Amino acid sequence: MEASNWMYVISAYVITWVILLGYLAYTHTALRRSRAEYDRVTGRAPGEGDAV
Amino acid sequence: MTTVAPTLEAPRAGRWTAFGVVSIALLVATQAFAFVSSPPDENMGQLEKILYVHVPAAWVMFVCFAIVLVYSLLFLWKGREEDDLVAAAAAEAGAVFNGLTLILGMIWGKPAWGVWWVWDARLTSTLVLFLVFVGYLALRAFVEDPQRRGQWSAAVGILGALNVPIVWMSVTWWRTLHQMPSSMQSMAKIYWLGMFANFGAMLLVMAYFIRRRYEAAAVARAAEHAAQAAALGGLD
Repeated sequence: MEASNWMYVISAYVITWVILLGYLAYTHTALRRSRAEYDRVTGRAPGEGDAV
Repeated sequence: MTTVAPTLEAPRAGRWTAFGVVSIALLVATQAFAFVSSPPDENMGQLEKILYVHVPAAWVMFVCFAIVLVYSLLFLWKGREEDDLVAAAAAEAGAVFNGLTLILGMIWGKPAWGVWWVWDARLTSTLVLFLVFVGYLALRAFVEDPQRRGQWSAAVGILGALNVPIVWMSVTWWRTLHQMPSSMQSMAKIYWLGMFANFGAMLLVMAYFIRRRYEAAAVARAAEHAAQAAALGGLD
């Protein structure tokens, strides 16, 4: 019983981080694409004027 | 009647990358703290460790939908496109935390209740909330006109957010399988500490997600405005 409970606990934490990091990667990809499109349309050099 | 002013400017990244790194690091630290410091529960054993992610995810989901409510109302009132984009960003982050809450609840439910899912009032109302916000996001994907998209999604967002009190009160109104909310009197301090620490860290991660999604949407809209202006000869 105890050992099988650990399996559920570990699964819960692994899934939490897969979802959070997956969404984090998605947000970064979406932002990078938007900025690239904005730079293309406005003729700016990539990253020009952006802070850290 | 709202109007969407085509004046949105691309926001700058600022120091949000550092904020994101700190938020994620803090969440790792609070999870490690709760995981290591909390003793096995008398009834649940080690399963109580799942609650340090399940419960904060649910609370953060509520916060996201409260933000949707506020910014949807602001959009309908003032017609600022920025408010619509913040509401959409919060709705998407809320749907992520909502999905996470459901999955973690199922993982907890199997060993604790013996079933992955049951049509209990809390589970069902949380699933309905999830489906409403998936519908909200689908609606936004299908409506091209920014003004209509903003108005329609604000209406859905407000209706969805009004479901939050039903989810919260469901365990009190309908006594089914999901347990009643615990109080600070009924739980040892160490459990509360772990739960609130994780909630605080997850709240920061949520803020980072919303900011990044808002930023991506605002930059995309600014690119559309710039392209329209260029097509009309307004851009040198």
